[in-house]
Amino acid sequence: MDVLSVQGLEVRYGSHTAVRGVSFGIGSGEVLGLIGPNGAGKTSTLAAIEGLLRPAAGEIRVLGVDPVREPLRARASLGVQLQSTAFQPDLSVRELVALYAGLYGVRLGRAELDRRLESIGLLEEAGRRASQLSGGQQQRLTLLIALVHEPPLLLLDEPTTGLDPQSRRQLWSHVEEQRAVGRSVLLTTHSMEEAAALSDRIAIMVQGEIVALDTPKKLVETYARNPRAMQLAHGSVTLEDVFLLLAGEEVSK
Amino acid sequence: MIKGSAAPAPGGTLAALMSAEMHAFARSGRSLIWTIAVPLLVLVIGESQLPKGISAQAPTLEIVSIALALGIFTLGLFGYATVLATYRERGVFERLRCAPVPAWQILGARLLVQMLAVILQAVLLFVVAWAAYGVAPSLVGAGYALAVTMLAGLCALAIGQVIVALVGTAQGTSAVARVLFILLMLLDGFFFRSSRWPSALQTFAKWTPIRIATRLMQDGLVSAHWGAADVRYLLALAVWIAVLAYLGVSRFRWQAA
Repeated sequence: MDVLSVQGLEVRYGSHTAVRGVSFGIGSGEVLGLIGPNGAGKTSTLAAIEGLLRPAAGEIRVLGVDPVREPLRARASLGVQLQSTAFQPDLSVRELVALYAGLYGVRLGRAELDRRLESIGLLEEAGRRASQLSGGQQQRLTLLIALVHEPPLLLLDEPTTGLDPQSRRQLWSHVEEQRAVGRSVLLTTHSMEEAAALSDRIAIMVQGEIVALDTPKKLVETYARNPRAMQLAHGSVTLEDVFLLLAGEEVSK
Repeated sequence: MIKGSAAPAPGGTLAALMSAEMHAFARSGRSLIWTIAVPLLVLVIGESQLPKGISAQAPTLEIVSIALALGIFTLGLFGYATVLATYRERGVFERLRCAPVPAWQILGARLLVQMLAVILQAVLLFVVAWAAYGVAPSLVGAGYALAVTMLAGLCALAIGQVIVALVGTAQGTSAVARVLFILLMLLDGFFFRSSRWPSALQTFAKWTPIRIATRLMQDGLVSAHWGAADVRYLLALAVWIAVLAYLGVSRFRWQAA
């Protein structure tokens, strides 16, 4: 059984269809990269998996649980990192971790909480408010909170946007650690480098549809001889060239 | 085979949310000002306006009623509405809703903390009135005051909920709250005697939630008794709470406009 199974997903906002017939699955310990231009439907897909949006059609299962019928049970198996850090401005780092531990039914003693903060280099910042942390520290905090209940599936929505190269690489290491312990990850990103480095498979999403889904290597191999891809390439065809070929070169709105 | 996690117990999630909200409330200077400073200031100013030589309980208890009603409603406007609007704008609600928590608990935790603050406000005001002016209500009077405090607290929070539901941004919510705060000060009759107002305005003011709450509080505290008129006021307050709560909850959006 897939950790996550999405079949024929359709999400609509009024008359606008944001996601059309999207299907994919994620196996145990697999990282699936979901890439696409702005407005492609990546975040809407994640919101439907989180049970925050009711799909117009299709079926989602998180370890066999339907997030529409049993949203709380489905969310209990998900670790979520949203695009932007969004925590209560008056709470300290330690209080935030304690809050989310409580929300997932995890009992964290002071020593265990400190150990976890130390593991991501935030112990010294434990008394500070999240808004006072640097971008990299905030992303590490959101990842720690996403993992507080050791979920089988992690949803990361553009986790490295705005980070410096050091912080980005540090976050990559954390994601790789999660895969190594058998956790599955659904990652959305605009960085082809990130998608290629972290993902076992990549789904390219354009205008609400998945137009290609394969390993990074096979995606490049498939289009390596494509004349348009070769024209786009500065040298040999890369994942970015494949993406531009499939998603179009125009800047999305 | 990997197994999914079970949803946590609802009691545990509510306790976690309330604990976090209490910490946030205690740390917010603004909340403390509305809880403590505003009603105490009204009490001190009101007391200083009393003619010298008056030592009777009734005038001071009337000022306590006005101060408490004003404090409760400002807490609903600034302590509740602006916090909710800020949470929504920053995406705090969006993150909380990704956790296995029933939606009602996310708002409910903040409501409960605000209600505790309202009760704390009332207790503090009575302690100061007793310590500084030697005035204390009877036990029955205090019971009436507590009942009105709870009802007025609910009404104030419902007003806050309506503002957040109808105004899209935190800045807009804050602006509307400020305007309503000034209106409440005027309607409460603290600065201007309403007996000099046009009769239509007097009638309108008489049935506003803050005046109803002040009147019920005064009658309960001073005479430890509610008459037929007070029962009508009580019903009116209940109607206000029901209508505002329905509007506030049904029109509420979790995400910023």
